[in-house]
This record gives sequence, structure tokens and C-alpha cells, in this order.
Amino acid sequence: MPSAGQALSTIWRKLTRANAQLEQETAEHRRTEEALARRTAELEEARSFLDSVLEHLPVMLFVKDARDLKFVRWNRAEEEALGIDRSAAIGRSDYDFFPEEQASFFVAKDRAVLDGGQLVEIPEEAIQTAHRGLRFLHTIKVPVLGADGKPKYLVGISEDITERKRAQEELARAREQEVEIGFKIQQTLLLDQPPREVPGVRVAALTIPSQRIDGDFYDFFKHREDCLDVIVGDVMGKGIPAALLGAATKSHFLQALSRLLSLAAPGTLPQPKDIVTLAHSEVARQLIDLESFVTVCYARFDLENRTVDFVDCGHTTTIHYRAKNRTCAMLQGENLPLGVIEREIYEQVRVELEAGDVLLFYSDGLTETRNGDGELFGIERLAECVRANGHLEPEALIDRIRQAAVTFSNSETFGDDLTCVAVKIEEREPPLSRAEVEISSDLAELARARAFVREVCRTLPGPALAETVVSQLELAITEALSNIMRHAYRGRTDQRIQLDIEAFADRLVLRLHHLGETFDPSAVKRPAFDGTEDGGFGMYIIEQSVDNVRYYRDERGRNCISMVKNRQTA
Amino acid sequence: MELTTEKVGDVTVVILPGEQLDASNAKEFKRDIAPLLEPRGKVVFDLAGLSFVDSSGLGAFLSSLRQLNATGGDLKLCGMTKPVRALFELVRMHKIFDICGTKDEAIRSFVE
Repeated sequence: MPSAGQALSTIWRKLTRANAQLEQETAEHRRTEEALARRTAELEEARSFLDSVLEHLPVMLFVKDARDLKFVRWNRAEEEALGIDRSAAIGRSDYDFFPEEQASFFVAKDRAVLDGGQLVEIPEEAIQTAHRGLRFLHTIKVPVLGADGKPKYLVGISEDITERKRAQEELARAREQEVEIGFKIQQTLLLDQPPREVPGVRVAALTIPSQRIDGDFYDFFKHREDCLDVIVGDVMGKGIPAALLGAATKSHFLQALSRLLSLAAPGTLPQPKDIVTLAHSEVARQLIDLESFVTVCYARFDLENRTVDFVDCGHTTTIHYRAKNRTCAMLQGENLPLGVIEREIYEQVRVELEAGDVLLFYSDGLTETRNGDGELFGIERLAECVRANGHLEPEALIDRIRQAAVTFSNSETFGDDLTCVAVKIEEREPPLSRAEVEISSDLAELARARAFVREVCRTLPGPALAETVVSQLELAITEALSNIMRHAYRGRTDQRIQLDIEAFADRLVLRLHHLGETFDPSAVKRPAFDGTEDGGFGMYIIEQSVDNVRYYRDERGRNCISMVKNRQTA
Repeated sequence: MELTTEKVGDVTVVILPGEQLDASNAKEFKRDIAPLLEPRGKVVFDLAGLSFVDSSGLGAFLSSLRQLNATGGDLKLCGMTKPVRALFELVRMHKIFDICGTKDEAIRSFVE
């Protein structure tokens, strides 16, 4: 049996061992705790670094819970962009802040991200903010997976692209405006209405603008009843610069013409070659400096003698259709375009014309149109088209040419502006008598206009008109005038309307001219004949009272209505 | 507009003044005739003095006809001159209106 002393020793040894162990464990524990504390401190530091980074990131950042898509985190940029404090956002969803449509869009994208487990980029989304209205964002959404591999959070980063978008839209608008301005320049400065009331000649013009405007231009000067100048030109180059140069060139021609007219002996007209030479001398320096040139064809038609004097300056070959044998001659001058040599002197050529002949001027946009195989429309094809259709009215001829170009290129639009002017010589038929009057746009003047018509009919040369015919003319004039007064001039009584009547052996031509709004005859519907409508008869009455009605714009910019009434031939 | 009226029995005869009814005075006519078109009224327009009517004048006649018909009345036209008749035929209004030769015919036709 152990003694007490031995027992004590054993207990002492056990206790010492246990104590040592305990001390060891305590020390280890302390080291672990210290390690843990260090680790925690490290984590804390890492976390606060991350927080700081996320908070100060210059992009909007949010985090949503993957289950209910409620916000768990917003950074400062997000607060500032949306004008909402994060304390109001955390725990809420998109539906609490944004219109339903926008919120649904956001949530749908969120779901796509979470279901697909992949990053989704949204190039543009609209978001309604409290303080800055509607903004546009470029957003990237990313799923964050939990330890179980399933999406735990959704992180979104956004950039406000509203300003950039606005800048892009403005640029697009500016471009559109440039095309619009170009088109307007074309219509107002470069391309005029061909003259409609020059006896002995009929003029038709066609322009099909391309997307980029060109420097095509044309102009008409009617000197007397028997003399018409036609100028057709093309500026080298494209776009607004070419258009402006075209307008400037036209203006120089006008100036040159007007200066030479004032110097010419009374009753004479300056020669086309002198007009071109003078105009060129004014504009040559500018053209050379701008490294551009202008091709021009200036043609003076003498309708009394049936000749045309033309000065061709490098322009496309003019086609002369001869009615007698239905052939086409090519007219080409020897002059250089404007702007090539500063002191060029221009020569003119005279060509004899006959009734039925047509002169066709055009720009190279027409002959250089290509088809799908890269073939050019070319002058031969154009000449063939004129040969086949030269006997038609110039408007119809021009339309056939347009159709041929469209068919050839298989497109309604063209790379370059397509311009075409057809001048057809007609049998000159001076009126037997002519009378005109100007009235104001007051309905009270209708009776006076009727009286004028009646008086003209009474004093007509040739067989007297039947009373029914005179009444029809009174009615037609009344209806047409009241349309102009009430609609074109919108009831203003202080405007002017010119009325003229020309008598021929076989017909009477009544014309009204005004500066009111243009009328679109195709917009008028048939009247009701069953008594249900009070109005809408005007147009129908006019059409039934005369044999022909035409609406057009003349070279003075006036809107015109011409009504023709055939006379009973004895 | 001065409108002369004549009562013959229960028929009101309105004599149109002036020589024309056109866009310059049609509105005025419509305004001044309205009170004379009584409900269930029997009205005759005497157009003997009228040598010109245009589509505005025609419209005024049409609206008078409709106003009377709507209340059970009726309108007849008489004394039409040739050009006015020509206009009515042109727009087929001779089928819509009852056009009589003389004033007496028009008054009598109300009785029949």
C-alpha cells in the first residue's frame, strides 16, 4: 500500500502536469484569440477599405437581395443621381420609387441576370429621378453567388449618359437640319418655277434632289412677250457650299444682266455672250480661290424669229429635238466652264428652231446615273428618250425622262441631283383681245369682277357668246375668286388679285393670280347632291362651267388659276 | 338684309331683295331669314329679282330648307331666272327643292 507521502507526490505530479497543460492551453488559447483579433482587425480594415471604395466610386452602385430584389446597399453616387437618401432606399424595391413601367423593366433585367447567372449589360435605360427629371443610364448588372452556389445578391453599376445622349441627338438634328436647309436653298434660291405664260413657248422643269444637295441651278428671265432667257448651271462640288456658290453665281448673272440692260440702247437687249462674260469676270476670282468651277448654259430664245442663241460653258450637251423629222441634234459649245481661266471671253452660237422643236437642258446627275451593273444612263439613252417623246407636251416629256431614269437605276432616289429643263417651241398665237383688272380680296368685289367678265364678253371680237356661256363664266369666276378670298387669303380683305381674260378664235382664257396660300385641288372631295351638305359645291361648279382648269405657280411666285372656255365655232 | 314678306293664308312668301345672292351676302341672308322660318312653317322664296346665285347662296337655301323640314315645315322656290335655274340643275338641286313657276303655284301647292 502507497504511503501518504507517495500519494501526495502522485497527486502533486498530476496537478503539476495538469497545470502545465492548462497553462499551455491557456497560452494557446490566448495566441488563438490574438490571432483571431488580428484577423478580425484585418478583416475590419479590409471591409472598411471596401466600403470606402464602394462609397466613393464615381459610378452609381447598388446591391439588391437576390430573393426579394430589395435594396441592401447604395453608394453616394447612387444617392446623388437619384436624389434619394439611402436610408429611404434600403429595404425597399424599385416599385417604391419609380413609375411602374420603369420598375418592371428594371426587375425584368434583374431576373434575367439572376436566372442566367451572368453579367448583363443594358446600354440604355430610362429612369425617373426626383430632382433631375428623366435621365438615361448605361447599366451593368452582375449576380453575386453565395456559399451554396446560388445567387445571393445582385450588384448594379450605372453611368449617367443623358448628356452624351443629348449631344448625339443634337448632332443628328443638326445634320438633318443641314439637309433641310440645303433643300430649302435649292427650292428657293436655285430652282425657280418655269414661266407659264410666254406665248410661243412652253417650259417644263424637273428636279429630283438627292440626299446630299448638289449645285444644280436654273433661272428664267422673260424680257418681253417674245424673248426668254434660260440659264442652267452646275457647280462642281456637293452640299451646302456648292449650293451657296450656285446661288452666288445666279446672283452675278442677274447683276450682269441688269447692268447691261441699263446700258443697252432702248429696245435692244444685251447679247448672251456679253452677259456671261461680265458675270464670269465678277465671279471668276472667287471661284478660282475656292478651287471650284461652274458649268453653265445660257440660252436666249427669240420667239418672233424662232432662234436660240446659246453660250455653252462646259455644260452637258444640250439636246435639240427637231419636230420635222423627229431626230435629235447635239448642241455643244466650245467655251470653258466659269472659274477656270480668269479672263475668258465667251462665244455664242445661233440655232434655227421650228414650231414643235424642243431643247432639253439637263445636269450630269441624269446622264451619270448608274444601274445595278454599273452602266451609265448616258447621253445616247437620253437622246433616244427625247426622240421617242419629243412630240409630247414638255411636262409629259420630262415625266417620261424621269420614268426612264427611275427604271434604269431601279430606284426613286439618285446619288446626285437630277435636273432637267425642257423648252418647247409652239405655234405662236397672239390673243385677239386681252383685258385685265385688279381687285382687292374683299367679297364685296365679286360683283365688280362679274361685271368685268360680262363687259369683256360683250365687246369680244368675233361671234357673240351665248348668254348661258356668259352666265357660266360669271359663276366660275365668282366661285374661284371667293375660294381665293376665303381660303387662300383667309378672309383678309386688303390683298390683291389680278384677273385677266384673253380671247382667241376658238376659246377664252380667264386667269386669276394671287399671292395667297397654294391650293391643292386633289384635296377637295366630291360634293353631296342629296341636300345634306350646305357647301362643297364650288370646285365642282367651276369644273362644270368651263372646259379646262389648271392650277400652277408662275415665275413671279404668284399662285394662278387658268380656266379655258371653248367658243362655239360658227 | 331687307326681307319683304307677305302672308297668304298660313303661307309666308319672302321676296328676296337685290339682284344677287353670293358669298358677299349669303351669311347675312341666313342670319336674317332664320326668324322667319317658324316651326312647321310654310314658306315660299320668291326669286324673281335674283339674277345671280352662287354656291354660297345655294348653301343658304339648303340650310333654310333643312331648318324648316326639321320642324315639320316646308320651303318652296318660285320665279327662278334662267341662270339661277341653270345652277340648280348643274348641282342637281332641282331634285331636292320644290321649284314652282309662279308665286301662286307655289302657294297653291301647299294646299294640295
